[in-house]
Amino acid sequence: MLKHSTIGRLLVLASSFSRFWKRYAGLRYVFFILFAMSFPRCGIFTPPISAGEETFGVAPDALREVTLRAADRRIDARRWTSAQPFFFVFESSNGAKFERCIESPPLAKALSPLTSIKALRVLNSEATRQFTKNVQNSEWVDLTIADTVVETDPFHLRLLPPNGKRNELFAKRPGDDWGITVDSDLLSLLTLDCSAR
Amino acid sequence: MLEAFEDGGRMYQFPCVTGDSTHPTNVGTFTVLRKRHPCRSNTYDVDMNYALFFTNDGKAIHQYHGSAGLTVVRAARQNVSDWFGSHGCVRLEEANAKTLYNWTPVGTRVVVF
Repeated sequence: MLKHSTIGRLLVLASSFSRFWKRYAGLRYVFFILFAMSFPRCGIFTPPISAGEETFGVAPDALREVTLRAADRRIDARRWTSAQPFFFVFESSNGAKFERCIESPPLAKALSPLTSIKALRVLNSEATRQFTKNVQNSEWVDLTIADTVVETDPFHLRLLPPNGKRNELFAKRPGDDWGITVDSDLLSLLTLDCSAR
Repeated sequence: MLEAFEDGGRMYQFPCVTGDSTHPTNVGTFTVLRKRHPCRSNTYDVDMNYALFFTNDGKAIHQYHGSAGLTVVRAARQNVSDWFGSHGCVRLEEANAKTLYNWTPVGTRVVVF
């Protein structure tokens, strides 16, 4: 009995819904639009940055740590407060070099381009695929920049330095299928060590 | 409303949405510490492109990414519920966030009142 009553109620409900749906046919478009709006945008993807835009900028006083990690060497620069000079560590992967020193004017100058990183050219996914074709893992240099803002991760870029095959410094965030080219001064720290005075 | 000034003259005026009562936007004078675009919030796992961070705990002026549109959210906040406010950030329409991001250098003073 209860079962029949439930089925009956469902039929009445379905019939009312059907009448409502026919009467307000226009509403189905509204529902469709609301339904479609609930999904994230998809389809053809355009890189969200334009040439000339800054992808990262940091107030020099807020800069705390910079790490450059290449296959054959690693450079760390860090400080606890803006009142302190940066403390540098230069290491080679084969152990031939391990230097530690306090910031000197040339080393401080080499950090300066890292406080404003602009996209010179933006490469979509296809151009990025072409640009990074046949690139060995050992060619990449990882750049990490940390500052006083703790809510987001440190800023991280993977860089491909210019060589005989390419004359631009290419940069890409891990996980993105698009990239940008950036000022090659970004890597000037790689040419220095503690002897820079 | 967000207003941007240079040399005493008003350059831009953009509608914005600020923090709700449980996550108010910090009041006071700050500076832009960091710019980041594209950007994603770790805390809320949402996009916050064209981000101009002005506090060390991550409050930023950035693009609003919701599908309803900032005008609708502003109206809902004023007429329906404070729940439609942000978690302390200052949200702008995409075009306005982009304009402000490209106009603002790090170190720019930010006054919230």
